[in-house]
Parts: sequence; C-alpha cells; structure tokens
Amino acid sequence: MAQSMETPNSPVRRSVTSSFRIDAEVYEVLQRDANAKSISLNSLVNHVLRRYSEFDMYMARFKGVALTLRTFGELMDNVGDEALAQMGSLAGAEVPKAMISAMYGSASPKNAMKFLKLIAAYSANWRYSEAPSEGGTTVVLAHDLGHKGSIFFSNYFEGMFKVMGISPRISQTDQSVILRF
Amino acid sequence: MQREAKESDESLNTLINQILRFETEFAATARKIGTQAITRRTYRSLLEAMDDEEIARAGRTAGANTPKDFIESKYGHINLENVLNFLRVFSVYGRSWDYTETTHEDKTTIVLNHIMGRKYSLFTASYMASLFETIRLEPRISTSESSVIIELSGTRA
Repeated sequence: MAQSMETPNSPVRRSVTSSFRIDAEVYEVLQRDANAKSISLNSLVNHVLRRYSEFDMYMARFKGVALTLRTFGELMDNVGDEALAQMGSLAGAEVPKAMISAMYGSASPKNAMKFLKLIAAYSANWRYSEAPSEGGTTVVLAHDLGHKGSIFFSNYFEGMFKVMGISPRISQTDQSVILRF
Repeated sequence: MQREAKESDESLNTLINQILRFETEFAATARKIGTQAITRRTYRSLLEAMDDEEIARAGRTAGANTPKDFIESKYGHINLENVLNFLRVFSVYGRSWDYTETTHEDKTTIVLNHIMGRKYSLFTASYMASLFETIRLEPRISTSESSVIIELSGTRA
C-alpha cells in the first residue's frame, strides 16, 4: 500500500524538472525504501526534500539533541510536577517564537498554529486536531507521554502563546492538551 | 533550497546529496524508533532535576533500548561494528556527542565529548555500559564534566 505523503502547509504545488548527481549508495538505499513503501523514487525524494525545506532545515539550525520519546518520557517521570511545569514554560517561551519567526517571518498566533500542525505532521511529539466551538476554536494535541507529558506540554503551549500576547484556555488529560481560543 | 545552498556557500547538488544522505543514514531510521530533537537546555534541566541514581537508571534503560532499536532497524543485527556505526551516526546527526575513536594494538578508545555537564556524563556512561552489555562487552568507562571515555581491550574495532 502506498504511504501518504501529504504535508500540512502547501495546498498548491508547482513542480520543476531538475537533474542531480546522487551518491550511488544513497541512491540504492532510497530506491529500496521507495520500493518498500510502494511509491516512486521521485515521490520519495520529493517528500524528503519537502520535509527538509519545511522542517528539518529549521530543526538543524536550532541544534537540538536527538532523544527518543520513550527516553524523554522516562526522564520526565523522574522530575517533580512543579519543576517540569517550569521547564515547559521556559522552553515554550524561548524556542518556538524564534523558530516560527525563522519559518514564517513573524511569530503571530496564526503562524503558531501552522507551527503546531507542522510539528504534528513531521514529528511524533503530538497529533493535531482542530474544531470550531462556541464561537472560537478548540485545538487538541494528543500525545503518548502521559500525565507528565501533559504538564510539560501544557506549560510549553502557555509559554509559547504568552510571548505572542494571547492566552488560550488550556486544559489537559493524561493523553492530551486542549487549547481553546 | 536554492536559497539555503547559497547561504551555505555550496552547490544545490551538494546540498541535496547532504539531505539525502542525512535521510538514509539517520533520519528515516530515527523516525521509525520515535526519535525527536530536544533543546540542550531542556535536556540538561531534566537531568539536573534528577538525582544520580535516577539518572543512572534512566541511562541504563535508554542504553538497552534505543541503540538496539536503531541498529537492528538500520543494520539488521547488533555487533561491535554496528554499535560503533551507531555512535558515529548519532554523533554526526543526533548531536548527542562528538565522537573520537583511536585504536592502538588491541585496545580501542572511544571518547565522547559534550557540553551538557556532569549529569549528562553520568547518563551517557550508564547508557554506554548498558549498550555494550547487549553485545556482551564490559568496557572500562570513565567520565569527566564534558566527556565519557570508553576503553575496549582485546577487541579490535
């Protein structure tokens, strides 16, 4: 079965034709991967390059350290709720604003929502859903990091939107953080 | 990407090769095992909030799982060669540490340098002990504030 290669922020796509010389061993690995996913090599390479230009390029500039979600969860499990809330708040206030500005030119609430969708599309941090409610919008960010993950992320989002001058109502379950705008 | 290539002062062809190599050597497998990027500051804060025993335990658990998942997904089986491949790849793409390896006679010394402080050294030392245990090796591991040194005797890497 073909894998979905949809990305969040590019409704209209224009294509160009270009030729590149690719290292042979890289080519072979990509070809195998494309076969395994039942997609063309062209589709796979386009997806990889799109992912890079929309996401990986910015992540690389911020020089994050690779860590599995499982280990992230285990580390959080050893930290008290209050300290975790502070870490989330600090990370939310510092990192996304700069990243959103680099990605979209300004750190507005609208661009912040695009950022949340992008992270959901390209990483395993959370899954994004959005629905209209009571004249506003409800955003649910579901995750697999349990109670501690919800504490970290709810404070992360609070910090993130606070520096943009808005304060959504935030609630949480053990599997999700819910933002009401 | 044209803009990125110009900013980096390299050809588009070079940039595309780098991206595709990043994908095939690291990113595709890292995604499969649920790897994310976390800022150094948050990572360090998490470790600073834990006591040494908790850190050592978390390091042992992570070292028994993450490398095994990555190595078996990418290389098919776990052995010394692939463990060292894993360490090199995570050094280059995972930014977990700077990797240096030297071999003299039948002794291989691996130095992992970092800027994350003593608690990260403790975490990494436990992680490495657990990782090498999965291939039945017990290297001598020592730490400083900014490095973890792994000495493998009797096994030419």
